[in-house]
Amino acid sequence: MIKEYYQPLKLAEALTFLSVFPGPVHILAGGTDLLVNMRKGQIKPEGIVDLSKIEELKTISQEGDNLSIGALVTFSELAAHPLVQELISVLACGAKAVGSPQIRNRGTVGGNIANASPAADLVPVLVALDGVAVIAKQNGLRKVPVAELIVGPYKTSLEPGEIIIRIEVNVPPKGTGMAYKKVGRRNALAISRLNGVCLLKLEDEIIKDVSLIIGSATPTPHRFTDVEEYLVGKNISQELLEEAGVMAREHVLAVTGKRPSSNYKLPVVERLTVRLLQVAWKGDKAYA
Amino acid sequence: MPELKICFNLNGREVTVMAPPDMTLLELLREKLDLTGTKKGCEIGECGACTVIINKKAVNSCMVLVPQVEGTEVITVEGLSQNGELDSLQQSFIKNHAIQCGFCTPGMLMSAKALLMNNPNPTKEEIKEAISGNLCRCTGYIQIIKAIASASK
Ligand SMILES: Cc1cc2nc3c(=O)[nH]c(=O)nc-3n(C[C@H](O)[C@H](O)[C@H](O)COP(=O)(O)OP(=O)(O)OC[C@H]3O[C@@H](n4cnc5c(N)ncnc54)[C@H](O)[C@@H]3O)c2cc1C
Ligand code: FES
Ligand code: FES
Repeated sequence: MIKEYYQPLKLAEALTFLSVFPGPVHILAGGTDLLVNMRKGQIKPEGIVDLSKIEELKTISQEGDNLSIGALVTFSELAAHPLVQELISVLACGAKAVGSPQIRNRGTVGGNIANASPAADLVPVLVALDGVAVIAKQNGLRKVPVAELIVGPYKTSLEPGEIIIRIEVNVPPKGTGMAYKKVGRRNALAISRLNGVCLLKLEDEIIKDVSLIIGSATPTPHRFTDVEEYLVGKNISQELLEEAGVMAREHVLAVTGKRPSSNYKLPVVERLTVRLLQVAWKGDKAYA
Repeated sequence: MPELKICFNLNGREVTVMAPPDMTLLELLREKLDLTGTKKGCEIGECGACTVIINKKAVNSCMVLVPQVEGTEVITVEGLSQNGELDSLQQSFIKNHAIQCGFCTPGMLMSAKALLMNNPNPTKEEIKEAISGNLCRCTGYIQIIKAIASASK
């Protein structure tokens, strides 16, 4: 039974409410995870604090080398935003991979992180961009890398009373190649079997910087730093990318151990890695 | 918790309703407002039968709690016809045989309407994308896509 439904217009009011309400209280953003869980009876909130009317959490702005994305920005808004399209198109790709138009019109960036599903489609992109979540509480702010905030499947280190208010991501330097790919049973409304993101910066065919994540393959999304370190400083070539594919496959196997799905998943991890690197290198034309 | 008072614009009219805070917009429309054109399917965001338009965007009404519609503009399938005359999109669905059992139709219409409100001349790909969150078990989609395309001309 819901005893209290609170719909503040200001963040400060939401934080105060969270600090004084005694029972289990749930934050509501777009509701696309929470309402499903309530419907299934997995969650029985006594209090709901509905953030959907807090305008200050819905902005996207550039601050120096950072893009700041309000936690209540929806997937549709993110994908359509001019700054996102111009500076970090891969964020738009991740947002467009989610569910259906109806889900993208409601689901939010903050909700995707807080829900912490291993199959989340936007989270890997945020992690690849070294995204930092800015978290507010009644008595202050803290900043935590998204990769650290998610501590396990459906588990974050968010404490009661805390609200993710925005995510700050690095704007990659000009000329950075970007690629995103989701592998699901079908295009729309499919939970990711795998997804992946790659950012690649070359200088005269030498790999200067690379960020690589294969998501949904491991319990929590993280950069494949072993593969990245192997690649940096090397001359890019098809053979090198093939080696990276094998390394990514071994990385996943090392994290998850052998599973019934490994025979199917691991070869795809390998090809997905090669493909992401190729697209980041040569653009979509690589597979046209 | 006592019911909350919620004001919003529904099919062009300001309405005020009393509803418990954990009621979904879908339940409100069907159970309290007798607008049963909006269909109840999966109730978990997967089938699109409950699609309505909120502030010019297609959303699943089963994924919205009533207090969240406070101050918004909601359009349901009942809001499409004007002065007893079917909307051109509805007529196009009839003309193109885009309806068989009809259960998905209200949701399809609302997804298509939202598309045309924001993009009056969509490509075939854009049409397919716009209805990708709506399941139809009967038509095989081809007539639906045709109907939307010919309504946009
Ligand atoms: C049919 C369907 C298809 C889907 N398909 C996909 C898909 O393809 N890819 C994908 O990644 N996801 C998918 N999802 C899941 C969901 O849409 C996303 O995870 C979405 O980002 C959740 O955001 P929300 O705003 O709706 O969250 P809500 O449901 O409002 O909240 C989710 C959780 O996060 C907490 N929370 C929300 N905002 C904050 C905040 N700012 N601070 C702290 N805690 C917060 C809530 O308390 C709750 O526990 C799908 C869901 C449905 C129903
Ligand atoms: S009833 Fe809402 S999406 Fe199926
Ligand atoms: S006409 Fe029957 S489900 Fe679409």
